Amino acid sequence: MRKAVIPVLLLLGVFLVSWLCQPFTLICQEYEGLFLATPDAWARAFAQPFPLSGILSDFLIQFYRDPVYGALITAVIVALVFLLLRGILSRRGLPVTDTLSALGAGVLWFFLARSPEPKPAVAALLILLGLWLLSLLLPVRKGKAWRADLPVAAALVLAAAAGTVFSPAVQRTERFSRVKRDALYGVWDDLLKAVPPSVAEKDGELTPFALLALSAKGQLGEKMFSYPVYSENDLDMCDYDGNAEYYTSLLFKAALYQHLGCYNEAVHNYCQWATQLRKGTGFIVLRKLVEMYCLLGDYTLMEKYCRVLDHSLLHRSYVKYYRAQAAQGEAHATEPAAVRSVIPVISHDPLYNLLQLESAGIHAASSADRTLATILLRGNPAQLRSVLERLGPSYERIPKHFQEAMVFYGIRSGNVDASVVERYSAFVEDLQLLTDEQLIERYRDTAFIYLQYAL
Amino acid sequence: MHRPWFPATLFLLVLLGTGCARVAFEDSAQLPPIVPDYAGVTVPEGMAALSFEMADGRPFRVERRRDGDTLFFSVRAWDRKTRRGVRYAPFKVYVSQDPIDPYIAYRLIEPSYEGWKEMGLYTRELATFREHPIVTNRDNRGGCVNCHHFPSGDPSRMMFHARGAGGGTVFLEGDDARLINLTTVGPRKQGVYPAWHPSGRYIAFSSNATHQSFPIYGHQQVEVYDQSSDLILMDLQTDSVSVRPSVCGDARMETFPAWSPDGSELYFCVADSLSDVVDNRSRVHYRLEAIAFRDGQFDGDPYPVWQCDTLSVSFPRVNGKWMLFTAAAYGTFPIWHPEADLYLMDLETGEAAPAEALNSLESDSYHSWSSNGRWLLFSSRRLDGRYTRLYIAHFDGEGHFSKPFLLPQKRYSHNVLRLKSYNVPEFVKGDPGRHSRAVSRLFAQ
Repeated sequence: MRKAVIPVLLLLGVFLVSWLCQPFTLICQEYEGLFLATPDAWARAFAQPFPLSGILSDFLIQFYRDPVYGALITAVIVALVFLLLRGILSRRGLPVTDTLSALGAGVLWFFLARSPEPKPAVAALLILLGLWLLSLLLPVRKGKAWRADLPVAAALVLAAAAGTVFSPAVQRTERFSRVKRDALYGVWDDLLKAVPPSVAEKDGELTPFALLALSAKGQLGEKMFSYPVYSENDLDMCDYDGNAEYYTSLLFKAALYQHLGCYNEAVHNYCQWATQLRKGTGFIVLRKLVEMYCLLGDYTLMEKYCRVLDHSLLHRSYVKYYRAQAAQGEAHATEPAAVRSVIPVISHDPLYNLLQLESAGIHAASSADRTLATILLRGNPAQLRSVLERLGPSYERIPKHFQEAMVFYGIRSGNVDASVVERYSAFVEDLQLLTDEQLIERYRDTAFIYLQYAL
Repeated sequence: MHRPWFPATLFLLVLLGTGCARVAFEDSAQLPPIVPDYAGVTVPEGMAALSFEMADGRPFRVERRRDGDTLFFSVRAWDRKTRRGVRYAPFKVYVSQDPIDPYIAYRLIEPSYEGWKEMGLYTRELATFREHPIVTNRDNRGGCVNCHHFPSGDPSRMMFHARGAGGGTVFLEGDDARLINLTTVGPRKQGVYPAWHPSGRYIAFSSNATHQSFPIYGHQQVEVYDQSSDLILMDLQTDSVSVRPSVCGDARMETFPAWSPDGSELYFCVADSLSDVVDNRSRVHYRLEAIAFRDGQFDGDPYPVWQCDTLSVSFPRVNGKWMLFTAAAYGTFPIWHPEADLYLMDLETGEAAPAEALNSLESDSYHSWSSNGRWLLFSSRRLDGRYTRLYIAHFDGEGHFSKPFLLPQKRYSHNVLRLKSYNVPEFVKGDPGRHSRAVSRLFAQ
């Protein structure tokens, strides 16, 4: 009974912490994982360093799609590591077997919670399994257990749990994973809950995702300046610096263009994003390609990716669903060369892209908001005026921040609320009276501050 | 002896056998609906076995029989639910005694966009399914490796470009490997598409400023174009690079060099330079020209070989009096153009026509002649419109191709499951895989 305390505590603790505090981290590990029973995948699996642990890790990661299974697998790995360590140490007659084993398992848990895949933990498990088997050959030494062995071991487990629950790194990974899931699947309310303005203030990388969620909900023109917006990049993530930002930028653009209905560009960015993943692609990319090609009516390519996914363990119903969709859909015919040669192309300029999409008749409800927001953030009054003249009539009421920009620039292309005019008058008066800090504090949720200071 | 399990087992076996029995075959006069379509193709003697599957995924059995130079494949297929079987009319595969080069080399890369994760140059033995890398980008720290080339299919010499930090053009000969950054010598232009002179001493390169654009809708997802391109000549004896103004200037874009078999002429594609190529891409039509080559130098001015106002020519490859090239509606990168087809030209008459036997509704593009000129290896996207796969066709020397066949794999499904495209396929007369050690050593330095 006494022997079962720590393993049970570990099993329960790791399971609950992983399930309750890291569900999206586990889901995103499955997103970026890949386990396919195809010749190329096997060849690659055996070519990697430590192939056995790599293959086992890739196999297990498939189940992380449901975080309950992911948490359970994590818990079992950590508990097994404890049991193996204790099995090895107890044969040497050490008085602190539970303490040392809990320390080992706790350290493993600490790293596993921060690792993008379970491979290192699986490798540790396999090594310990080998050592335990070897230890069976050694004579058993008897020793007296330290009285405090069990309580200290339990304390170590609790410390490891606290270290995971309260770790800023773990929390940040979990938040980013949640944002990733919400953006990829358009769960905008959840995304906004995960990234309130206070969070975006600390982690600016999340601002474009929050603004994407706002634009999807038709609130960009009303609430964008409640978030810390310092440049156009906070809206469209067109510039990036370094590999981590490149990864995030590609993910963001894939989600953005999917939301805008520009599936060609979404495919482009999903494929680019795939090159940043450990295996050159991942389950999520393959699933997204299936979805995009289904929407594009390219059922031949869709079927290819379905067939690839069919060589994994848990995609049977997914593939069946999309095959049924294809059976009911109408395949898109290839355009003649003369038509293709005049199709507009995507550029590195997000505004140009939005205008091209609009002219091609591809627009989401949020396209007009994003177009106006981009022009506002560039501080181009002439372009704002001309686009407002075109897009303004589509609004029942022009959103607040665009009205603020109209008042700021003196544009009279649409109705402006009296409250906006009053606030601007107060802003102009306060410009003379308040310090910059006071002004920013008072008007931070308006376009006035951005237009006055950021440009 | 009482053995109650015996009748029970017998009963179960009979029951199982009855359940599994496939109903007697219906005979069909039709050929079996298989993928890939191997019916009526011509294969070389000793080719790896052709593997295929039913287009609708039904289980099937096949019986092979050879009669002279003809193989007969009899296919029986069953419906999974009703277990009713159909015996199809046997289809024929013709075996040609014209020898084929035993190896091919190609690059494997994701057919994605600007970036990549893994790519490599690979070689495949045609008599077996053995494929192994010559070099992968793990050797050069994730950089790009491309444009591999052999002089007349000679495996002992090879070149390819290694892009990225510390990159350049890698020249391999026997066990030697050396890397030269062409942008640091001569006119400081980088080499792109190579053409090795039959003498082995010179390589003509095009030097291209290549860009990509992404149409916002439609079947074609990438448009690759040059903003400028020129031809340069490298002398491997002196490691020097030279240019000639008539094939290196701003007014025209010259690309895709290809030598005549005797090395006295260099064929290439050329288009007039345009500003804003993307928006004017429908006006970009490359034509074929040639320039004489004597004593290690281009001689005289280029002269026209073939042009069509509605077609754009790329990848000319000469085989005696025949030239095969790719023609698309416009542009310089036909692999992304579904309308791209292969055209055969008689250099004696100057007439060119689509090689109908080879072409499909999807892009049919990069090609290579075998060393005896009897086989053609080319790439096509006919399977799914996106992933390039390799096809081989027999050429009778009189202007006729046989029906091409898909490069056989151990299982046909490998063509579907492989998430990489085959790029720049070339016939090779031996195994170029032995260069891999020299390349690894070179990059390790």
